[in-house]
Amino acid sequence: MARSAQKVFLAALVAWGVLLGLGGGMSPLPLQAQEGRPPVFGPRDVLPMFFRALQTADLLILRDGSVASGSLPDRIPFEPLAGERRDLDREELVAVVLADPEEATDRDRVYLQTGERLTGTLNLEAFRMRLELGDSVETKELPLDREQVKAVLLRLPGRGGLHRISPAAFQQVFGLFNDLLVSVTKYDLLVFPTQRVASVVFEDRADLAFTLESPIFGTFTFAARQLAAVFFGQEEGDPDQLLLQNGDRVSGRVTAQEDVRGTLAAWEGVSFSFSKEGLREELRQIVFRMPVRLFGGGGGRPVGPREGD
Amino acid sequence: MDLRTLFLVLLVTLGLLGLFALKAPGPGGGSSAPEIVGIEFPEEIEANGEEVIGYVAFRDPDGDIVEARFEVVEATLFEPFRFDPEVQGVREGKFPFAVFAVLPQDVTLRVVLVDAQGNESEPVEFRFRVVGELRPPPGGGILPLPPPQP
Repeated sequence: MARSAQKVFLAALVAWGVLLGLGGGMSPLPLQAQEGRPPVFGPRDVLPMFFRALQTADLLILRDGSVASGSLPDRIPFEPLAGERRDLDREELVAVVLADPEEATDRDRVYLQTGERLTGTLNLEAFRMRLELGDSVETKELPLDREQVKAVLLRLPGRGGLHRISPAAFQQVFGLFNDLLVSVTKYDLLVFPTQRVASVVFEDRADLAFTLESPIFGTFTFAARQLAAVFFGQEEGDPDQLLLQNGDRVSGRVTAQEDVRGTLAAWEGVSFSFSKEGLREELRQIVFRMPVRLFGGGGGRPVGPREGD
Repeated sequence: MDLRTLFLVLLVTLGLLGLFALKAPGPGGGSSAPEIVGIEFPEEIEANGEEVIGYVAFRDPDGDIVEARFEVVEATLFEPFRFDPEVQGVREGKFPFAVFAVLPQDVTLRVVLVDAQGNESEPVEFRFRVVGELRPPPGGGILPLPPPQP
């Protein structure tokens, strides 16, 4: 009897073991969808816009990733590590990069057109940005907050003066061009008829929508989330264009469904408002926040070669 | 208490314990975590948006890997990604992945494999440089920009 009971007991143990093993194998994770597609709209579409902006004004890059066109004063007070305080002529400069407040040993850096770099301290009390974006945004003299500002790229000289800037100077500020691209993944961007730009935060962005009237296809409405950019024709008779997230372009006449309002990302207190019909007079382009995956990413290639045991 | 009663009590106790073990969340329930044996990927790729193929070599005694996770450790603009490598039933081998970038930058990715039980492999990092000229299209810009320097 005892022997028989032991056998039953062992059998029960084995059965539980099997059950536990099966139970462990019956809780798979949900499978993830394949991700990663080649880009259809990337930096090559964005960089020319920033270059044109840099031909008309300085570009301010903030630590929160936003950008805004504006103008620094003609002379910028600078105190080098060793030597006397002096005023730098903006015509000599390519960029200024402010010390990172989280890096105690960091210093302000000034990049000259000659390729030289100066290290020291910029006097920010006299460091103000003049904002002249378009008719819809009030012209203002705004102070720069050292904690918020990462860098300023100085306006480029006209085509005749570009030779003054050495390749070494561009090389030194190369990372700042990356910052410009990063800005379009964090904020929507307005391009004004003056070519100046500003990162913005739209009011009620989820409800923002644009209507395209096409003489061929009729009238369509697109939500902002479906769009990569809106291009407004600048001359009478020029068509407007909507660039969709999938890379398709459609032409026609674009109006907003409602008046468009918001604030500049760099200065929350600076607001803008466009009537829904008046957008094309006020703006040259709206670039909607781009997904990071358009700039780089990856995915699986299950159809590719595989080796197994 | 006779032997039969003792056996019944033991059986019920074991049953309850087994039930508890089934319900209780546990890391893997005794199965083995996958292991990343190696990663093959070029040290440099072009910033042209073209996909570049790499391989993750792995070992997994249970053959139940369901996810490969690529986390971004360092990059300027690069999105993390994950996918099912479709190697269920394979205990040792390698599977491909594809990476693209359109911006010159240094990228460091951390790879983790996850099996059907939720077991995660030890993470393995790899690094590559995306090289190329950040240049607008012909006629669209004016600046000849150099690639980033090491």
